[in-house]
Parts: sequence; structure tokens; C-alpha cells
Amino acid sequence: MIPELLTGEPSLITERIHELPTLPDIYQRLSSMIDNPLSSIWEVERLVRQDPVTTTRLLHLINSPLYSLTTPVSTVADAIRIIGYDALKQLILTSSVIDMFRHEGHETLSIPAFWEHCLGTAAAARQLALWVGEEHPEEFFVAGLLHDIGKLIHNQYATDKFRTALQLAASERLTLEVAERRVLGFSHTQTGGFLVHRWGLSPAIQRAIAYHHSPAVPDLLSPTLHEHAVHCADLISIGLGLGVSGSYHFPPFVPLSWEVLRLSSGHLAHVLSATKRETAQFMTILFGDYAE
Amino acid sequence: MGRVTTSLLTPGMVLNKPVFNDYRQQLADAGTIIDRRVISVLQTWGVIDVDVQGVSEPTLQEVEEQMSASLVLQQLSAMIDDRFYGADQHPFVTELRRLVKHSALKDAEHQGRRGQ
Repeated sequence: MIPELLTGEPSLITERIHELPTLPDIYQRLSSMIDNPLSSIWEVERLVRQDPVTTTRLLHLINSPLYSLTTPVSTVADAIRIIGYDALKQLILTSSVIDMFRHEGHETLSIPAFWEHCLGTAAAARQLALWVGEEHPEEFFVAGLLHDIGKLIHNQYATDKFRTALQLAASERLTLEVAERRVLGFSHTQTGGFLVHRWGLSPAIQRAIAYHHSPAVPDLLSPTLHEHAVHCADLISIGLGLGVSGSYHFPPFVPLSWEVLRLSSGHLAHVLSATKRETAQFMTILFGDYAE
Repeated sequence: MGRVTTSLLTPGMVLNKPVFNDYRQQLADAGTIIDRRVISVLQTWGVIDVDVQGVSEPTLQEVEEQMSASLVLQQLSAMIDDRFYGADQHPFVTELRRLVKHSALKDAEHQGRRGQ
């Protein structure tokens, strides 16, 4: 556990700890199946086929321009072979978490627009990971997708105060993080880190969510590439105007992130193009009409 | 050097930098002379734009000057500035803003050509 996550006034959230959402059964079963060297692709396929929504989205994804296949793929087994287990886990987590928080929006926070910002951050984080040669870019995607999940927990469990924070951010042109600290006493970074810790996601993802506004100096004991990538990806998604983050002030940039990632202007141009394309595809797959 | 939208590439242009797909597989090397086959490969992989020799990349100021040419472009530029409200002047943020504006300008020009 990252100790800083529990500073401030977390009781508002921790007192309701047992009400916090848990990761869906299909993701947990898939994770343990993939981690078990004795399980086969057929068992994974059977599990995926039990969930029609996941099956549809998997086939939609594999046949989308993101994979540029010349022949359409029509079976779950073929789709899994092509995208691989990491991307399958990423899709199921994405699909599950978005469905979990699909309907709790209000006039100051449109849920599809919120997820568009998160998918933009996820796509940019994955692109940044690819450019620095990371072996597991899908983990960066997940970290980007969930970087603002604390906002949805505030929206659901501290609704009135969160609404006040959103209004404060709008009226005084603040980042939502600053407004949350004024109204709630803590921010979505702490709550989000706390939630994904409970979900048992990797320490790198926990750190990326908890520190995406203040990524730390890298050292051997605490690798920080994920948090630097998500920090830059968040700004890229905001700069591109993908969805809404609830902030009315561009988040302060931490120059160390650019030094850590060591990307050139040409790479950034590529990351922007790919981010726009990938976000549009995911929005179509997950939200249908909204993206069109 | 500067970036040219894939749909506007013409045979004979020369790539200034290698082009990769989203999986970091190289599609074409630096120095490649563009022909119809190369354009087709780039379009198949959804490459939006590439670095081409002999094309200069406009500065943020130049892009903003171009965007002052019409009311629609001025509004687009102001909308992008609003996203960057209070942003630092770090080279990353400035380059991000320049790329976003340049891309929006190229998209607007492309749509304008299609509408003619």
C-alpha cells in the first residue's frame, strides 16, 4: 500500500470501503486462468464466449482498423490468438469498468465524455510505452484508462461535495484536483490509487494513478515510467480535446516526465495521430452512437 | 522538414524519417521515394502524416497567423487555447499546442477542399 494514499480526509471514502465496487468475476477468472500455465486457450475462449457483450466487443475490436487485418475474423479463438492475452485482459477490464460506471453522470460530468478523456489518456499512454520500447504496453493502457477513476468514486459516494468541487473548478478555472482538495480535503489521485490497490492491480498501475499529477524521480526501488507516461498522456488527451476531465485549468506539467520518456517532436506527432485514431475506435466499440 | 498528411502525398516526395505503425514495426525507411505503393501501405496502416524532406514545419506563431485568416479558424484556435488555459511554457506543452493547432488547421483545410 502507498502510505500517502490515506492522508487527508479519507474517512469519507474508507468508511464506505465495503460498498466500493469490486472487479467483475470474468476479469478475475480470466486473470487467474492466464496466470496458470496449465490452462489452455480453449478454456480462455470458453470463458470469453460465456459473456456475449465481451465476445461482441472482442470481434468488433479485432475487425476494426486498429488491427488492419485483410481477412475478417469471426471466431473468438482466432481473435484471442491475434490480440494475445495482455490485450484480451485489457479489453475485458476496460469493458467491465466502463459498464460499472456507465449511468451515474449528471449535468456537470457527462459519463461518455469522461470515458473519452480516459480512453484518450489510455491510448496515449500505450503509444508512449511503445515508443520507449516497453514490453507490456497494455499495462500502460490500463493505467491511463483508470487514472481518473477516483473521480467516479467521489461522484458516487461523495456526490454533493464532488458536485461542489466541479462547480468550483468551473467558476474559478481550477484543476479539479485543486478544487477537490479544497472541498473534500483529498483528491481523486488518492481515492483512485486506494481503489486499484483494493482491486489488486499491479503496484506500477497503483503508482501511476496515485501520482499522475506528481510523478516522482525514478529510482531502482520504485520504477516510475508508468506514472510519467500517464502524466504526459493525460495532458495529451486534454490538449487534443478528447472528452472532458472536469478540470478548467491545464494541469501543471512536470518537466522530469519529458526527460524520462526522451521523446522527440516527431514521436509526439505520431503519438497524437495514433491516440486520436485509437480513441475514436474504442469509443465506437464501447459507446456506439455517442462517438459517431 | 515537415509533416505532410498521407492523403496529400505525391509520388517523388522523399521521407525524411522512417515511418512506423502503432506496433513500432517499420513501414518505410528514411530516404524512401514516395510512390503509389508506399502511399497505399501508409494508408492501409492508418498513418495520418509523415515527415517529408523539403517541407518546412511551421512554428506555433505561423500556425496561429494562418488560423487568423477566417472567423471559423479563429474560433477553432481560441477553443484550443481554452484547453491550454494556465498551461506552462515548457517546450513539451508548447509543442503539444503547436501540433494540435497544426493538425486542426490541416483537418479544416482538408474538409474545405472536400466541400468544394
